[in-house]
Amino acid sequence: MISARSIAEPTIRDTVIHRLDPRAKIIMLIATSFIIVALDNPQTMLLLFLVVLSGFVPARMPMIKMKTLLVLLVLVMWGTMYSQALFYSQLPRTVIFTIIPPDAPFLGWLTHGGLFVYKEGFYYGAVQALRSATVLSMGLLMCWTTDPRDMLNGLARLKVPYSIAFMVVTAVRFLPIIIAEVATVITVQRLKGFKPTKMGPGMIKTALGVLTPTLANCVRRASVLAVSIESRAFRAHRTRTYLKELQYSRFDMILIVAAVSLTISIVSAKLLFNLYTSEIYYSSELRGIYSLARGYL
Amino acid sequence: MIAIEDLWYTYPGRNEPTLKGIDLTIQKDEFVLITGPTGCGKSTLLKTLNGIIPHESAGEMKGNVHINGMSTRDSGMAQLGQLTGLVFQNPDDQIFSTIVEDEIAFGPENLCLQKSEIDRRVRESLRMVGMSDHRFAQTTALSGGQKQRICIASMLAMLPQVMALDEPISQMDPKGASEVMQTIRDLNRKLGLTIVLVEHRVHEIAHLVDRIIVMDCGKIVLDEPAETAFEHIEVFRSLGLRVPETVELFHKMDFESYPLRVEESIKILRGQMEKQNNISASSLTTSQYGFYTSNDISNDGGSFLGECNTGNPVISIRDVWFGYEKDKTVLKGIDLDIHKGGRVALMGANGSGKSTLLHHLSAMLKPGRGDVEVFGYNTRSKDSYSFASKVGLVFQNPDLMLFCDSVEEEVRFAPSNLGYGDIGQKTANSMRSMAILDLQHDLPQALSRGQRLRVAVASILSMQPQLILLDEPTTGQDKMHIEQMMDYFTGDGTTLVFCTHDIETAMRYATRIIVMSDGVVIADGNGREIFSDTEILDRTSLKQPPVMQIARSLGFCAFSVDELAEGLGKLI
Amino acid sequence: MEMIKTMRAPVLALVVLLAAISATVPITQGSATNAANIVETASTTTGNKTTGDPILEDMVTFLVQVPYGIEDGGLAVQGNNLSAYVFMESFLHGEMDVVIRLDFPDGFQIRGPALQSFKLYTEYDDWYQFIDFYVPPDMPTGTYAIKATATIEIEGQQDVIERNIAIRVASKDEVSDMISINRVIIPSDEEGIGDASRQENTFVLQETSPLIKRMAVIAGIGSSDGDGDVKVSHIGVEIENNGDEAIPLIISYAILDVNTRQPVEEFRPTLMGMSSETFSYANIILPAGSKKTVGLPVYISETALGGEYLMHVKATVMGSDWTAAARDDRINAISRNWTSIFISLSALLLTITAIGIFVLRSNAIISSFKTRHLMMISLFGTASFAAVNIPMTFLWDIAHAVLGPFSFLFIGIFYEIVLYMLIVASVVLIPKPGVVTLLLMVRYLLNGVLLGHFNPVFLISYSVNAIALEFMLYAVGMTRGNVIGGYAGRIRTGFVCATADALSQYVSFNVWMVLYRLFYSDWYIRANILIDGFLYTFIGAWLGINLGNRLKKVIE
Repeated sequence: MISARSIAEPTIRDTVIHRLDPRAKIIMLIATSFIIVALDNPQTMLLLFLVVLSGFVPARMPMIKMKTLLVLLVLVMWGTMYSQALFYSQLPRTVIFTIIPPDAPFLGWLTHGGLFVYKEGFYYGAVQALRSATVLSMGLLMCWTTDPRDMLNGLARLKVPYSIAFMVVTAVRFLPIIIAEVATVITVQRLKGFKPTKMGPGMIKTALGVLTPTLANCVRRASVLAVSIESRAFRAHRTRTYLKELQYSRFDMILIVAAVSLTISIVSAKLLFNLYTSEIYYSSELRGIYSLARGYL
Repeated sequence: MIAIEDLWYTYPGRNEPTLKGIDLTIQKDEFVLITGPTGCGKSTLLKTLNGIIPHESAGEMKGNVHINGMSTRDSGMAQLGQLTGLVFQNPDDQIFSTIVEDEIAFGPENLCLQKSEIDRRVRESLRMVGMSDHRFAQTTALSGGQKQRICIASMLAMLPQVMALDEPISQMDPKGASEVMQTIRDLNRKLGLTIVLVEHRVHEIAHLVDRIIVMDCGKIVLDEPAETAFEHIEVFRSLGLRVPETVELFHKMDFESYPLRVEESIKILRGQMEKQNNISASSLTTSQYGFYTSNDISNDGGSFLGECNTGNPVISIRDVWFGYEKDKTVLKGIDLDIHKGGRVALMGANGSGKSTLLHHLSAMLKPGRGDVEVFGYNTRSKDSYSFASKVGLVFQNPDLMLFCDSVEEEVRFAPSNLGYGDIGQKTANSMRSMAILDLQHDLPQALSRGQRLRVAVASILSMQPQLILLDEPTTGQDKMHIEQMMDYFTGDGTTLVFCTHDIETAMRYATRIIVMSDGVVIADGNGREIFSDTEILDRTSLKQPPVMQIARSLGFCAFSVDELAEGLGKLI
Repeated sequence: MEMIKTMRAPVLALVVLLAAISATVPITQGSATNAANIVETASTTTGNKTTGDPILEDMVTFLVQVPYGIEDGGLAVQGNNLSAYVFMESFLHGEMDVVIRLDFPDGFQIRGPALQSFKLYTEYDDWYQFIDFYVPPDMPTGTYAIKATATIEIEGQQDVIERNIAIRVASKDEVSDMISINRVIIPSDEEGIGDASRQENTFVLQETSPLIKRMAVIAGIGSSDGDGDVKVSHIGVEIENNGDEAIPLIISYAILDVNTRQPVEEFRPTLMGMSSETFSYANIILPAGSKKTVGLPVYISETALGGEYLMHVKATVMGSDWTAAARDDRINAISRNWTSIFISLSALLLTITAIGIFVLRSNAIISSFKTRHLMMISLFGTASFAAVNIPMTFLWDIAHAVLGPFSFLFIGIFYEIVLYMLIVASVVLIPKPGVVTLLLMVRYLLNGVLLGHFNPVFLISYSVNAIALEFMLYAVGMTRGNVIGGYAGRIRTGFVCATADALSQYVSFNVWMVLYRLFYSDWYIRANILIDGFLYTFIGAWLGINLGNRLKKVIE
């Protein structure tokens, strides 16, 4: 069974991927997000996706993580494919199934002439899902190979304000506790004969019932925690020092430079190409870029 | 080190001051215990030492507090924070890091120290609390006592002059509590750190401290060195504070001075006995004196068990094995019958499997192997929640059981969901039995800790369960609240199974004690049997209460102050 | 849709009109004026061999074109229907009686009388007639002579003028070999000339959203009337005749579905009450051995979908329905949703600005909060993560897979109700500006650090949400410490949150569409915004006030 734990907990090993500086990982994730958004060519998108996936091999992730990844990827793929099969609005398109016929009372009107499943939409959805799948895989690869504290350390060095990073550290630390508390509250509700999972207005009662004790605990805990950290000089000075210094390795630097320059080139080529296809800006000197973008990006 | 002059403090929105003219001087190296009933102002006083009052509070403060010559009013929080370290009741509410090292390094980092200095302080602090091996451990993987020591270490890393602790052991199991207290004492003795400790478990720690201060209604009512403090035993009694059993014993026997330690007590008593009888106490045998011989106990216990442990069992557990993960077995072949009307205490160290067993009884967990039958139904055959009406489970943290808008609604919740008749009457009865009728319109979450526990229990009682399960109800609770609750169950006649670390509670209320260790039942019987067997106690983290230690050492078999006093009284 | 129809840019209307007038003027039977092609016709009128009295020749113009448009050396294809054109004009001050007779060689089938008699009364009086004839499929190929004889009687005196016209009868294969469509330039200008600055074989579909049009109206560069819901583009057809005769051709096109080869309605909209096909063909007479590029307008209705189509261009020999040459080209229609792009860009800029401001001013913002508040926000972030994000990681996709388009009804319960309960409760507890921002920031980072969801779409939608909420909550006074009391206060809070969330939902749909190229139907977006964004958020905010007030008591 895949639990919240198998998603959220890193598997700490000593591999090439694990050793990467958390900042390098964060930068590469951001670069990947930018590139995948810029791309349109299905083959290139698939290639990028496979490159990201291949990162799991040197990271030597355990079976359970790979299963989790697979399940999440299948869900993302299927979700996108299904939605695009319904909403696909390009021609040609072939109806393979009618969900709501156009003459259906009310729903026909609501959906502006029915809802159909289009064959081409499935394919289109599969291609577009590569975007979500790539970002998701990259994110998980990063999370599963980095201790959250290193990641936050990285964020703090990347100019995320320390107080914010600190709040996230605290949030991460209390997550298992709060999840356990939420689970306990739901159990208590059920033991008292209440059915929290029943659909309908009862869910609101469930929500209030779950949040009241959980948040009450949070509120009490916050006061203690605040005093505890304040007596340890939290926010006493404008800056602070760190016990654990982060140091870029040569490999980190190469990766960062490569990722950043690749991102800048792809995104700007794609921007120029889109300006051209949208008939906003054209320069004959950029023909090479246009054909590159048309063919491969 | 600490000088408090005519300190008055009123919380915002309150008319009456919480502190009323406190005058107090504490010397360097002193180990001071501040105690008093709930709401006496002891925790508030602690907050003034750190500058939280007045800096972080909107209330009104009059008078002066000087720490090491520095006025808290005129100094910044950061300076004061370095001067006085604060440690609270629940370590889980103080640790924010996932890794021990980060937690300790946090303070020095905030002070902008050099990396090498931070590293040195982390190392030193961990060494001082005996946690050097856990520098890179996950904080969540630590035991309660270890976590609290991490909290102390994280304060030590600030190199404070004063360490102020607010009920640091009230949530610990006996092992954890002794670890933590030993650590605190070492800091005081070895580092010369001034310690101000607020705690209501006076009887457990009085022998460790130098000085005892008792507060009531915002005033200091007693301020004496530990050795002489209990000469004013009536002060403690009138405020509902437990005094050490040794004090109780010596007081009962009309001694003039009250020793705080078991060894000391034994020495005095032995000396007395020798003087009186001119024989060596060590040669005394129980049969000679014939008080509460072990035979008596087993007979007595046997007859008691016979009364309660016959007929069809309410719960029958057959060869139950269970593990949360594949390779970690928590329960290893448990066989038990629990009979109607019994009050069973499950004891054992953390991780011994007692909570897991309890959850099997509520059908929340189903055995991996073997069977659990509750009221004749196999828990496997039914949905966990179909037992809801018959089995009432009170969780370790009762706060999580309170989600309604008012106490009355909370208590009414279960019976109305289960479609019971006469809900009004059931609700009223439950609230009456937990003495919370007067709170029925209040928001449960806004009540005090003890009240919240009672509301949680009442919300279970209103289902009229035939079996009540309590998961460590004593953790973090005042003794008084526990007693109120347990008194009710004693008179009630329902079957009760509870996990606890508290020997006194078990001794006093359980008709049967089951001791678990590493997933196996290692002892099962009444309290007297169990606690006479020191071998079993050694295998768990349990410790004999002082009276039993004294009695054993003197060759008696006594389980309470009264019994021992009576027995000794005939001799001395 | 109604909205779109009434919002029209006049510029566009003008383009449509110009195109309709200038590019191709249709030749309708019965009208001899052909503005666009008359020049061509004139340049090829070298024939019409004349015999007869030269004096008489000065008194009249006698013109015979077989087929119509070609004075000599015309071409007829086997099995075709053709028209011959006969024209007579008098320059005489007085009456004349005229009898015209057309003699076709054997085999030609004349539809109608071969003999025509009429009277011309005065100077510049004229007469004309079309005479239909049919060339049977079995008519031998070769050149035939057609003889036209006009017998003119003036004041009893008769004279005769003759015209001999050569016409070649060719087989279909011969003609097909002569005519070829060399290429189709898509898109082109009105003349059919291509433009390197525009992508080949691609049409950019018209912006379909009312928003930009309305903004254009507001900015004064647009108006709300006109025939603006049809976009006009052009294609150029390069056609070549390598035969020895001029040939009259009609060039037309159809945009077809790639799979079914059925014409796509969105590319033949109704213009001024007529089908656009009436406007979108050209007829030319292509001289022997020449090459020519013809521009044709393409009308695209605003409901046209993007995708791949087949551009089917054909040339038919005038007077027949037989296609002499045809060509198919695959074309792409790119649908640029400028509203979405505009919204996404603005949201992106807003996000960057907001984050920039926050990073620069973070010390000031954060130090306005007590540490206790920061811890509370952080723990609320954890709680929201535990109660919303973690179940959603699985439920979102599962619900999506199972419930399909209506999954939002279920998902919203978690996302909107629970989330807003938390947000509003935290605002009730800490009524200060910045609370929402911090809470959402912790949530976003937690999502990123634990689940790897550093998704740019989430970043933008969280930012927009935070900005909208901060502004609106401040405006109604909630974060200025005003106590929310009574139903009015709750409704106001609910309304503020609902509006802010609806806005951020709208933005995030647009961002999904632009950055992730996903399609969503309008009704779906609307239903989401209305139910999830508005209704559920309203309920969540309402309950959040309850929750906040309860928690306040816990603090006290």
